[in-house]
Amino acid sequence: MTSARSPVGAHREQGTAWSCIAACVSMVDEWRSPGRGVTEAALLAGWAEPKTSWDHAAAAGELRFWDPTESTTFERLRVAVRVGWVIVRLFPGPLLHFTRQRSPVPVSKHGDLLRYAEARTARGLPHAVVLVEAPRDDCFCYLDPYYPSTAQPFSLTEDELAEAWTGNLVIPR
Amino acid sequence: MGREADLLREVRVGTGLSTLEMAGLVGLEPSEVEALEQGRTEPSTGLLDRYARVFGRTLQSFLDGGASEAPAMVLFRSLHSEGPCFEDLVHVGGAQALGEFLRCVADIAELEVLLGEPEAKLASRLGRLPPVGPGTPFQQGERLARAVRDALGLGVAPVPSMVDLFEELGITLVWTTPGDLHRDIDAASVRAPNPATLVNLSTAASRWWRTRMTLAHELCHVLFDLGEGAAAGHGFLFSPRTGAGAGAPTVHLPNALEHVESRASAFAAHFLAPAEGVHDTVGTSPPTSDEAINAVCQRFQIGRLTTVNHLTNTYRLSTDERRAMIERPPSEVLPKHHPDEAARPGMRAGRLQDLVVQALSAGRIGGVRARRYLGLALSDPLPSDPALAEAARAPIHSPEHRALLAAQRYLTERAEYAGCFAGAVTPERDGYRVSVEVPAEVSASRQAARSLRVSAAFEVSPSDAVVAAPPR
Repeated sequence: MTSARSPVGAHREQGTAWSCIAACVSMVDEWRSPGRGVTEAALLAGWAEPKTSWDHAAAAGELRFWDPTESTTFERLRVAVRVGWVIVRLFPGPLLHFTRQRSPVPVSKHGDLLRYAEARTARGLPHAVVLVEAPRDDCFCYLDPYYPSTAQPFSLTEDELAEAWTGNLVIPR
Repeated sequence: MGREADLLREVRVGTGLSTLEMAGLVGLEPSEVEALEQGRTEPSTGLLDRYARVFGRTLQSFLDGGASEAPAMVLFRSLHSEGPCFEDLVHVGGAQALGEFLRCVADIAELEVLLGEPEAKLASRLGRLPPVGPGTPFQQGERLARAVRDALGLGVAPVPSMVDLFEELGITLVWTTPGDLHRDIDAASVRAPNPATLVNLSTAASRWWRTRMTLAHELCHVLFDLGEGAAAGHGFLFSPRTGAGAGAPTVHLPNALEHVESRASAFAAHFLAPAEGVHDTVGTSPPTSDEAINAVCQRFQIGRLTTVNHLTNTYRLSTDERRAMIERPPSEVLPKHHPDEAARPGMRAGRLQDLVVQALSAGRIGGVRARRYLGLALSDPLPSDPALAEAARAPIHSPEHRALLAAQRYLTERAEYAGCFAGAVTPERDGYRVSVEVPAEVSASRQAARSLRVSAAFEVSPSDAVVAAPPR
């Protein structure tokens, strides 16, 4: 990314507890066309059920799966993020665990991210966020639509991302 | 992805390789290379990593366009100009292993910088060495060996340990075996980012006298043949096995590099056993006698064949005399153990592993990066080491997590599971069962399994199919 624009300007808080994919596509669009990005509501209106389907992320680019078990995958992801933003889908259990370690702990109007269980290893509906920077070799910054813009972008270490990532990603066109 | 497809094509064209040759290097069919370059198929991360390895680059550096400046690129171009040489290398699968060596050297250098280790001390220890100068390879090798001996203050004394000398000079040693590098490639060396030598233990590690010769040979390459303005004009060289030993060699070099190899061999013989020292040792014994051969072997800790060749050259013996010396049954005059017995074979063992453990213990790198340096998957534990706690060694991905990832992939790649996601993982005999979570808004009429079976090899199949009542 060569632009000096702050990524936070493109952050959008998702309108419902389940519309993270639409919010991420909206953020990517806003980043590409400031002030003219498509809204989450407009996207959702055009999407077939179920609106939580990862397939809808194809609105931003091509759907990919990169195996997170291979350590080299994170090198590939880092290069992709340095070229442009990348939407990834994370397991909410580990993500919630890492989010709760921040200070102050971000609070969402939608309640807790994890809707199916509370334990760190519990799995629920995967959550989409947008990776916006890879400033160092061991760190990724991301915009999370589940929370307000305050203190964003958040960051995850490479090890944390490895624990949370489903392997799903979209590299926007 | 268009960017990766363009990169793969640029790298191949930049090296002057055909799709057939590139396919040979990375283990694909030519049609598969074409499909990748045209963006018709997406490369897996593993395949991209194979490309990166061939050029001696990390995946990140390769994807950032680093292949165009890779030392391996220059060597490939040079070999490619003499077709059979390049084909030899491809045929024995040497490019992948040599590229892996270059990557290890780059990783070692990266970790040394991260840990604030002092820079290599080659130049400061040896001062300014003379240019290669005129003459035959033999004359050049003898002259250069004398210059290095002088710079090290060795006089005509034996070299106690080549391994220790490499350490003293700051030349990293990497050991491998024919399991990873074809036995017809003895060794390889590189000068940048730090000087390093790869030794193939193609004979038993206990034949340490052979290792000493290989190291002395590679020392010549590191000091005189590599780097900017160096004699060979390459940043990286490998040394094929010569005719000695079993069978004819299958890997050859272009003529220009054959000259460099001959010089390095002469250097090795004279560095380990200087002519003046050989004369002193032989004394009044006939140079063709076993007494002379054994005395030289013992004094300079070199093998019998090297000694016979050395005596042949030093005393200008005839071919018949040499043959007779070789054909006589050898006597065991060398000790069984020696400081130059190699240790810790494995390209990512040894120095690299030590640095990874050091960096991880100091909190300078995380578990993912540590595994990348060691060529491990996230589901692998880190090697046992007293400096690492059990928790730090534990896999990042448990087998259950791998099962979950495999199931998640399966679901997202199939239209009938749109909106579904992988849920609870339950270990079963020979694998796992992963529940398929179906959001409430998903139509109940969809025909899809409600759980998946993931085998111990992480292959996924639907465990039961349900056909719900048709929608009313």
